[in-house]
Amino acid sequence: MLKVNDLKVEIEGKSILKGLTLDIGAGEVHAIMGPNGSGKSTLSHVLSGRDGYEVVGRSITLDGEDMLALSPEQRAWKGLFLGFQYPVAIPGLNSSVFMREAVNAQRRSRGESEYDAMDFLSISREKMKLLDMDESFMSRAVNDGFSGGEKKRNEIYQMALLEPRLAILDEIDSGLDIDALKVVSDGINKLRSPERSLIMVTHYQRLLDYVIPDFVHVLSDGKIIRSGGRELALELEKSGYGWLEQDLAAAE
Amino acid sequence: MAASQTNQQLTDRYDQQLVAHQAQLPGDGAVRQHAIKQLTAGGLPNRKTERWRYTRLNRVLKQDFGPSHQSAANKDDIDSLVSELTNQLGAQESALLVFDQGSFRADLSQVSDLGGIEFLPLGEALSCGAVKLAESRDGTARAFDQLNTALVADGSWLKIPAGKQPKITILVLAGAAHEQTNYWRLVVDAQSLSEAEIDIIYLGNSDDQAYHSNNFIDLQLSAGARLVVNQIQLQSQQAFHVAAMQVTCQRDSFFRGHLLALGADLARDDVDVYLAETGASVQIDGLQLTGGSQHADLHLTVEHQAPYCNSHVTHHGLFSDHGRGVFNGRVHVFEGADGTDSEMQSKNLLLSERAEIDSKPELEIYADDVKCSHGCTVGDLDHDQLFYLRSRGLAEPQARALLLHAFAAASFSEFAGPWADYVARHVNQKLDQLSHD
Repeated sequence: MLKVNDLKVEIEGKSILKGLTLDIGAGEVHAIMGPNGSGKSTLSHVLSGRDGYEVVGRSITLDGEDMLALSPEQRAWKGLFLGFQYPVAIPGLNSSVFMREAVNAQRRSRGESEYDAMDFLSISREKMKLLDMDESFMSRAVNDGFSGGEKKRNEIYQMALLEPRLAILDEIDSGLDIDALKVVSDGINKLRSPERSLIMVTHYQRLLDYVIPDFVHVLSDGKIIRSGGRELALELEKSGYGWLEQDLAAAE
Repeated sequence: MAASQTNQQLTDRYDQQLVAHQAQLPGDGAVRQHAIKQLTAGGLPNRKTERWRYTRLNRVLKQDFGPSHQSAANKDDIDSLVSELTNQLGAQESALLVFDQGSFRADLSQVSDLGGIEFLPLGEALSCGAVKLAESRDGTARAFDQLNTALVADGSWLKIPAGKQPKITILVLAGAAHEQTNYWRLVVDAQSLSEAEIDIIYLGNSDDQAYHSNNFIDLQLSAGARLVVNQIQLQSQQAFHVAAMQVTCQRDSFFRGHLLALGADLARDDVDVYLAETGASVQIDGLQLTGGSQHADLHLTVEHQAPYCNSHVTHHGLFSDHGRGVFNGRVHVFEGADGTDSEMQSKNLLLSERAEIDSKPELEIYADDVKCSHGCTVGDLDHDQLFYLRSRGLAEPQARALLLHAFAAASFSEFAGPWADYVARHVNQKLDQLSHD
């Protein structure tokens, strides 16, 4: 489904991703782990089409189609979703209005009829239940004055509404206490399906106790240095990233 | 029309107007005489007047603005404007006072239930001595206040008692005839522990007329009073709008203001808040939207004269085409005003390269134990916000439009009451117009 082939990315001339290859099949859950500065967030942003990054090598394709040529909104229309590490607050923009516009923009792009306010409300309520969210969320401005936990729940709620084929969740666990982490993980698990692939970018293995991945990749210095199953994450937790990096240095 | 009148010629003309109308003008003639002396001594603001540095009057002083009460509005025009507004009010409990070209129109107003508010047309209140005409402040910068004091004939005097929460809407119609000036004044005595909301809507009669609308508002909040004043300025395209608001807050009183400047060719608002006694607080949101060749100027001063007072001022400006804005926000903390908590922000979006904002938040502090912050931003839309919206599937033009609306809406997110929808509709119309400029 998603193929990232030898991806090289620079920011202002500085090399961040140095030949990253990743192959994600339909319905698979991949975790990408790595220390700070390894390029995790850059990967999330480049996949979703944020500007400010220069792609200097190779490709990203979704079902064979070149993603790099598409704008962020076009990628969203193809079924891509980014859950932000730091969702931005937009005072003055009502959450409900925003999400209805977003859902309808995606429906228009697929030639489907738009939801009216009533349709949207009932769908929205159903999705909020998944995340144990209070309905007052909908009357608030987007992320404005939200706690860390509320922001992350809001990201997963948006994912539930937009029903992406591929969701990239960038450090969705950061800033969450254990209760909020359970709620968010629970929401993610309910959204798993054979048609929906997930990439979870995280620093900590803790999230992976709740959302069990099919594959784990370790990103270090702009490259994937090791891939494996869930056990790789457990090993990392025991021994830390230093262990793998030393291992790698020894191999070279 | 005089091509260019000198400052002296203009003030002389105002002097003559006072002489001609003195007999009909209510209240203490001596105060009016004093005001016109202040005016002729200082003249109208010019390029050397610091408080008017970014707002030049040349463009409006080309007009030969005559005195007020020379011509009433076309009856059909005014009836349709008023009925549109009363429909808007619907069944909501808000009394309505209508002023046409400065004069009270009992026939168009709804005064049967004022929720306990005592109301007199200002002309009457001045004649019977219920209220005195207050003297204007000195100085060229206050020339239009002085002019108002000298020539105002009518307006509204309100006394708000404690115990009820009345809402009142005041419609100020201006610009029935070309080059006409209308003067209007509001005096409010918000008594101890009273709570009220006053919505003031400035409307122009038609877009064909150039006119001068000169308004002065004096608000006195006694101990523990809570007063909300929303000023919605929708003057016509060629209007020269001036409004001065003076707010005095006694102990533990709270003033909440929204100032929306959408209309007029040239608009100048002066707001001076005096936090005169311990525990008083003020919160004001100002929004300026200008396009075309519009110019909007807001000068806002908060005088922290007593300890433990709070002030929160937020200005939002959005300017397109050749639109210009001026914001001068000044917080002055007096010696001994310890425990002051003050915050002032000015946030501005420029939608074209020719649009301009001159924004200057100022702090002047003479007390030791204070918490004061101020800040100013000028720029284009926030990139992170834009990307967030696009990542959810909103095409860039739609994302930009939503963010523009959000920027303006953030300024009146707490704006409730009978005019919330009306204001939202006008703001949205204006924004659509600005984004196509």
